[in-house]
Amino acid sequence: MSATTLPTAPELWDRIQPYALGAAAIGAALGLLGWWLSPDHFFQSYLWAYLIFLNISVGSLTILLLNNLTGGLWGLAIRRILEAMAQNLLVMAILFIPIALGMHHIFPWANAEHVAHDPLLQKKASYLNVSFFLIRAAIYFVVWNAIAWHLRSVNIRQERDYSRVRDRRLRTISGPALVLHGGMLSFAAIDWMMSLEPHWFSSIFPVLVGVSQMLPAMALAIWTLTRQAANPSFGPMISKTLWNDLGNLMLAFVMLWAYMSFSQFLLIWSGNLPEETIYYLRRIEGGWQVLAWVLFLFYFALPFVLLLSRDMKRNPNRIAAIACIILTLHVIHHFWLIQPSFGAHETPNASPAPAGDTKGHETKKEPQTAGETMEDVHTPGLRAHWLDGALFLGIGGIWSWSFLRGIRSRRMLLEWDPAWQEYLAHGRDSHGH
Amino acid sequence: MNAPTTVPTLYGLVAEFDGEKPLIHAIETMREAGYRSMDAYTPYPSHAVSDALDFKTSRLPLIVLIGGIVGGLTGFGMQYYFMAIDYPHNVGGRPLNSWPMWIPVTFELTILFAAFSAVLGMLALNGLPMPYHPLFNVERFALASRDRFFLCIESTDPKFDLVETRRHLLAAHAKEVSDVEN
Repeated sequence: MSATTLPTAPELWDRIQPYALGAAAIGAALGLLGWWLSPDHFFQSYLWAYLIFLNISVGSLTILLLNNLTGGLWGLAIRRILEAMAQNLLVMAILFIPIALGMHHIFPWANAEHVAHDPLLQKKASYLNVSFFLIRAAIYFVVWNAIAWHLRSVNIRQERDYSRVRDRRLRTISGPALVLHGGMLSFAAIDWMMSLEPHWFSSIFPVLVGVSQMLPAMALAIWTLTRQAANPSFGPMISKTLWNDLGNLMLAFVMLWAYMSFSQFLLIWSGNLPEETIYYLRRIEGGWQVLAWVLFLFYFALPFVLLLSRDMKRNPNRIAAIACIILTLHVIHHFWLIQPSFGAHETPNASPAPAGDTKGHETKKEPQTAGETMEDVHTPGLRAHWLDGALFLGIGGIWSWSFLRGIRSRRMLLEWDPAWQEYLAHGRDSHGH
Repeated sequence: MNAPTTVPTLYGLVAEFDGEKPLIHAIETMREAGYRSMDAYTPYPSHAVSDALDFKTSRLPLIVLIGGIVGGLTGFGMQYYFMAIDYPHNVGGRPLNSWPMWIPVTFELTILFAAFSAVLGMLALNGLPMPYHPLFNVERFALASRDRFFLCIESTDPKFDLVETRRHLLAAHAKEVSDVEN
């Protein structure tokens, strides 16, 4: 375990960046083919793959703003990495264009034919309509990019000529910025994820998404830092205590994710109202329950138990492995959140879905008054489309290429920061035991 | 008062040093000489001294873990017994074993038991509160909370010998070596 087979940081990034570009090219070519062959699948897979990477970028911005407010050396150690993720929000703004073009393939409320048969959606049309949706999306991206670029430009100026006043001003602005950012990510979660099932609603959902963004951002930042620390010129800078802090934060996000996920489930389960339970019925039947168990075991239980141990957190190789588990499960989590929504609305009132009589036991508990909403339970079982893989490669390739460019273009150490200098001078092993 | 029937037993020998560095040097010298039952007393916490003494990590995390698991099982088991066995009751058509409803209390009891195990386990392991310690019999030991550093070789050490150990301590540059009576 101790001998790393991968090359260390700068060479590693040089080595994998062309692969990212290759993946982007393959994904784009297959994606274009899919767009022509099967637009429905194309746009649905696109949204899924897009949100996986967008949410990492949004989460990195949340962590950056949080760290500006709380301080802490852990933030200095991963600040460059998080900034590189947050800068990708510009790329993600451009990659949003296909979603804007294919909205009617993705969102039931954007499909005029569907809305014509759905009185509830007609009532919701003052919020869920195409032009307002696009205006909101534009606002989210303008605000996010403004925050991300402001943070970056302040840091570039600090690197050139450090000033304490500027540091304090950055902290002052981070408070309101975090509030604004929280609003943006909440509405983005409602627009891009919750409105996939426009009858359903949950007030905890935006918070759940916010946490689901920070967890993979933290995991990817930690993984990237372990690769940088494998370089002998960088590694000794990161003390065991610092790894411990980063691991504890990842543990906190794992627990927060479980807390939010379970809170939403518990409220809906105990309320037992058909318009709410339908969301979970789609996700615990037809094979989707396998993913639900996988999420419970590997997105919560396993990382939780492993991260309790100090030895796990203090060993870069082990914490890198845990970060990889979390990143893999982040992808599966998004599959489970987003994909069951598709197909539920393909045939709104018309022909009964195949295999409709093989509903599980859960539906039997439902009150008889469920009525028309119950029609929607007929969701296709767990399945994946080749476009899921193609677009994951494509968007992931572009995102990773841009991320690697970001972390290669700037110095990874914040030698100029007084807190970091203090830490290097005599803090390395005596702070915060 | 005079002529005690038993000779006071010896707790050990305590050596005095005037700095952290000489103390660490002495700890290393004594450990090389084969002594193991020893403890150091400093005016401030020092990681270097605990490293030199080769402190084993405490068993406290294990105690807290066990406390947490017991708390979780208690929380869940209690509710299961009340709601499904002792007083089964149909609440809104939900199953008797409504486990999702029990998670919050299970979680709370896990935390509660773990916190109690942490505090009580800590007290049990470090022996606090300890109103009496043989070292208080050495008058100069009061300086341990001011500016002096002490190393005590305890008489339970198999290598302990009144003459030999004192010679070893003086050879390790102790300023003064005193007997510690029980």
